[in-house]
Amino acid sequence: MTTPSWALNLFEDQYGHKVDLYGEIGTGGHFGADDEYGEFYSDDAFIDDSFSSLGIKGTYENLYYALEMDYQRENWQGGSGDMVFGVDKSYFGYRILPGHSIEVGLTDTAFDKYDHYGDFTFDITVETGEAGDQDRTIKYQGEFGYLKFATSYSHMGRSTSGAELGNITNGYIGFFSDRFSVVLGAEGRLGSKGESKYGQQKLYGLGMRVKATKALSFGINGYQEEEYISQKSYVVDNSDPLNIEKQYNQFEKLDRSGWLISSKYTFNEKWEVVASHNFEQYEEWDEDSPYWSGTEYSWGKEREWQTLGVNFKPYPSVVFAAEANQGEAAQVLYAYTRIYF
Amino acid sequence: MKNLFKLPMLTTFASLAFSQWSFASQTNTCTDATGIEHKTIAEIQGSSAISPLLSEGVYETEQEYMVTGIVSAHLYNAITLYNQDGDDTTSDGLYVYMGNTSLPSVGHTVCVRGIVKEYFGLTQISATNKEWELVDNTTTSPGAIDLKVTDENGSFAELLERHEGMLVNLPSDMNDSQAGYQDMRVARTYSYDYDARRNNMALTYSRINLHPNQVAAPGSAESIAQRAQNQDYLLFLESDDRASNGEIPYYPGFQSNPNTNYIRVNDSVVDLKGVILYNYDRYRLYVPDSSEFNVTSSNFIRNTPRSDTPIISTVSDYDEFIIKVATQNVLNYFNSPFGGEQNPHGDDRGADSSDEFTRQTEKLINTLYAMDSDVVGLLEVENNGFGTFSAIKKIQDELNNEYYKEFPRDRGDARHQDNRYAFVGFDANGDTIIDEQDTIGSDVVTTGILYRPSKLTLEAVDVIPMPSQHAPIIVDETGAAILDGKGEIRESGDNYQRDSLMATFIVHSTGKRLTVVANHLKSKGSTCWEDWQGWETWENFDPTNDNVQDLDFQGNCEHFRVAAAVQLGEQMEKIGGDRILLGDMNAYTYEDPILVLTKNPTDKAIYAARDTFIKGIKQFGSSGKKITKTYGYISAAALKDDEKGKLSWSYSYNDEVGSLDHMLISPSLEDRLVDAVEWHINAAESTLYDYNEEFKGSNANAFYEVSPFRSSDHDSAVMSLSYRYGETDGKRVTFASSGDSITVPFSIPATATPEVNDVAKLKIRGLNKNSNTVAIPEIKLTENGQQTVFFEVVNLDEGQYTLEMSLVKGAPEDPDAESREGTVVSDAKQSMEISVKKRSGLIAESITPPYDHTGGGGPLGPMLLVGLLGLLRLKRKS
Repeated sequence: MTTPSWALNLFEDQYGHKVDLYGEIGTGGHFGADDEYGEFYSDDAFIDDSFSSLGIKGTYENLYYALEMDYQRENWQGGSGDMVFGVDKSYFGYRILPGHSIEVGLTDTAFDKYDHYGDFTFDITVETGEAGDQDRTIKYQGEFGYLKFATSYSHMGRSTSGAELGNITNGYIGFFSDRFSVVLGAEGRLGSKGESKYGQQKLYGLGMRVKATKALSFGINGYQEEEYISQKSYVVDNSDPLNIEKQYNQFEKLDRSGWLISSKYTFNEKWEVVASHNFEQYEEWDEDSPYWSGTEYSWGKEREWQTLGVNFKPYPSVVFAAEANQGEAAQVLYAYTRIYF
Repeated sequence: MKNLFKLPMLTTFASLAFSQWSFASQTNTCTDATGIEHKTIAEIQGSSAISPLLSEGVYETEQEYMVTGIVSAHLYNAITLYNQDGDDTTSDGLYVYMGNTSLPSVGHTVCVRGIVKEYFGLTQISATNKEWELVDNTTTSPGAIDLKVTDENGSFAELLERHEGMLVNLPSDMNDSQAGYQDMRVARTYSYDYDARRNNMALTYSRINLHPNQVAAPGSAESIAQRAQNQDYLLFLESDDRASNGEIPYYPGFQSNPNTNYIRVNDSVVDLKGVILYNYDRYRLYVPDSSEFNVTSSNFIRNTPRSDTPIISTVSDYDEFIIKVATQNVLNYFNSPFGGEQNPHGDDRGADSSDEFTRQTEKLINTLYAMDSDVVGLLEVENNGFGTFSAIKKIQDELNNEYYKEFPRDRGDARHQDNRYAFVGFDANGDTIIDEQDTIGSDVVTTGILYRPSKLTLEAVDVIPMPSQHAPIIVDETGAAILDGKGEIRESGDNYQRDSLMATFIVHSTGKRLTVVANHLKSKGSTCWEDWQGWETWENFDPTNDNVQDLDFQGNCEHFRVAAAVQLGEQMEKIGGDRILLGDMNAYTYEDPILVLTKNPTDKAIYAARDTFIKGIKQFGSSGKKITKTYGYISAAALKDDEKGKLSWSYSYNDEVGSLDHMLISPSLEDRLVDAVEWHINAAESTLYDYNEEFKGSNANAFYEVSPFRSSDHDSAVMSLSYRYGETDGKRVTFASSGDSITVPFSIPATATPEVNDVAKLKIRGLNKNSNTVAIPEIKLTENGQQTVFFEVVNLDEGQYTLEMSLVKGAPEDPDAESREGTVVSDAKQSMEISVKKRSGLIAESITPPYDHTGGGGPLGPMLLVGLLGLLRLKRKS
């Protein structure tokens, strides 16, 4: 989710109605990518991670709305590797009370906002597999004092690759103060009814930040996921070899979990250093599991890795980041430049 | 039990015969003898297995002895002498090897002299110079002595030992102290005995020899005792001369008319006479080569006679119908050498010639037709796909030729085409086409399923992959692989078993599903890694040539079969519903794999093999696993056996029988089970009756007939299940239309007091605009009482409908009775939510199973509701 900082005001009247233009441009990527980890679309040593977005957002009385378009490289496993244009957000919102609103449309699911909470790394190390942006979503967000909470429901959700996920509900509740904050999140997915390999899912996440000093912060993030994945598929129609229709059955519960500890030290407004220690465990990596993927991974059934990165912000909305990885990591270095407006 | 020598019997007899090539003759061999002690037969035989005249470790005496007795029988170059001494602990007979065919007459009293021997365990005298001396030619033969059990506490072998060398008769009751008839039964029917290297039969005392693990858990005291008793009760039935293939010398009628004078396992053998001798580690009854000892069919009493069809109950209530499910081993049905599709996995089995293949087909089709089952699991079908020229298509085509009546008026006739079969095809390569490229697993044979589309609709098909084993190779002390005499590796650690074929059917006229799995687990023959454990410590074990130990009689690879049973149990648990596991589990009823699939009441320790993998995924790891979970299936045959007080068996191996072929039903089917039987058409029969043309002698063709008998080596098994018309567990009742017509049952209960002239009516709701073309008849009852009538509804399209059935009173038969004509009987009113589908064709199509609901799916998520409720609460507060 982008964080517009220098949004361009396109329109504003005396009643507070306004329209802003916002976006970001980023370029960079993954150096020394290791194909064994299966995170990227190809076996190249460098994986481009270019990303740009452009959006407008506006308010009218208690209504608000946004339309955001992305232009990004589909660099994930199964992706095309091409730069692809797409609508990322398109929703209406309504502020029902101060601090309480409802959104409808293509938007972030509730938990998407805090799924990485406590992770200070630039590249996001441990990935919590929540639903992300979803079409046909209704979301409620609210806050009381230090408490924030939200829940969303997405009808017939889809994965980033377009596979059916079924209806998705997620949400979070968080306590936020200046020195300490913690967020508990959860997601439940009802599954695709055999239309894709994705069955029902339960996901629990925890994020925490502690500000030890004005310059030094610590974060913890973790998740526990139970996801039913189909173990057997049947070809229904293969007349289109690029779009083979299948029926998926025999779903089995696969357990996954991950956690990280990260810290950030801010030297000044321009320089930050971020370090992290990360852990992930996937059942499909475990040779002793009946649902082992069948691929022997060099890291076994779990992996640990560390990162050390530096962020240089010459201007408040520009960042140059470089993050070195060590251990059982999918890359050697992540380097990126991003500008927000 | 004697176990002193191991030289081949025939070789020994022959060598003796030819080494002493002079004729025996009558002399004064005893009168002229000096310094030679005369002994009675009892003194030579003694009361133990070895003659008391022999010192320990010595098998023949240094000095000669004389013995006198009445000649009771002639055998090949030998006689038996008889002398009753009144001592029940010693035999009254003695085998005398004369070395020639010039023998003293039966009934004469003769004296012979010679050294006493324990000849391969047989106490005998070898006549010196092949001479005998006539003592009295006025005596008469004692005849055959009835073999009677006189010592209840003694072993049967001891009884036989006490009759060693005697001519005995097998009476119809061998034990006067027990109720009923104790006789000798055929334990193994007439066939080639690879141990004795001749054709013979194995008999057993008072009952057939059930395999130890057919009566108790492997390794249990009961199992061990059963094996010991089986061994003890054995008596091999031999001809005096070596019998030619296809001939029983003492039973001429067998060869001349074998399909009338057949001999089956469990036949009682009565009033058959022969001499009891000991040879090849066994007591054997030799029938002298003389017509007076010939037998006829009256000497064989059939306790499990041949039956042209399985004797199975199909009795059901008035509102029920029967579905029959069966399993049939097809004895390596390979059509690839005879114009069939090539087998990508090999083609080294089955018939050797076109003639044999024709015979194999004829016998198989005759069997399948006689079984008349609605679902048939097939085992050992050539794995050459599902194309036009595949083996299973050949079976389907040949079988369907039996159902040649096509007119609607012939419906209900056994030959009507409604009874034709389709086979279950599996789209193995995922191209949505069922053809020759779709094979199951990688073995040369596979399982198959036939079903009747008139009774069932195929809803889902799947292959259940079975584990393979990839354990370490077995090596000797040097680290080298152990090889057999041919140089082949004895245990590579890599072992495989066949995948199972699963089909889920919709049972017509109900909303029920029935899942059937055809299985063929790893055989007991070749070894697995576990079978070799500890071989280094086995006494006198020759790793090159000897069989591995089998202390619990499960044969080889029981742990590997357990791994398969767990896989089968787990996968079928996911399927749920009514399930039947059919087929050759290569495990007897109480063996480990069956205990896993059924129950393990004695908590027997059961272990799955190590290093097993299912489609490359590790199953239990390198330590295997102790299996404590059981899956609760019920052996249908065993369940019905308990009710009938019998024990089923489906396979004969050597001299024991047991059930390797099972029909295991989920508990949900227990109340539905009407009957289950094992049809003894194969295990009880001699291999002489199979399709093979070799080793059947000069009258080979006489053994062949188009019949089910010895159509395979395993018996078929059949069960009958009852279904109530219209019953469902929530799903729509399915009807399969044929020619746009369906038959709708209407079961009228007794509470509705249905009477003659009452009219059954059917109303169909949900008809489309063309519904005026649908013909819906009314049915006037022709009998009183509860009954099911059938509406033949014509021109009803595929779709979903609601049926409403009612009964309207007609005019009473008795004109004086009170008339309620025109009244609708409330107790008879019924409605049914139905789905009408086109009846499946006979050509296999790729079936996409419905979603199995294992991956969830459903309406709104609960968290949303919680969130919305929280929102409403907030609004109220504000």
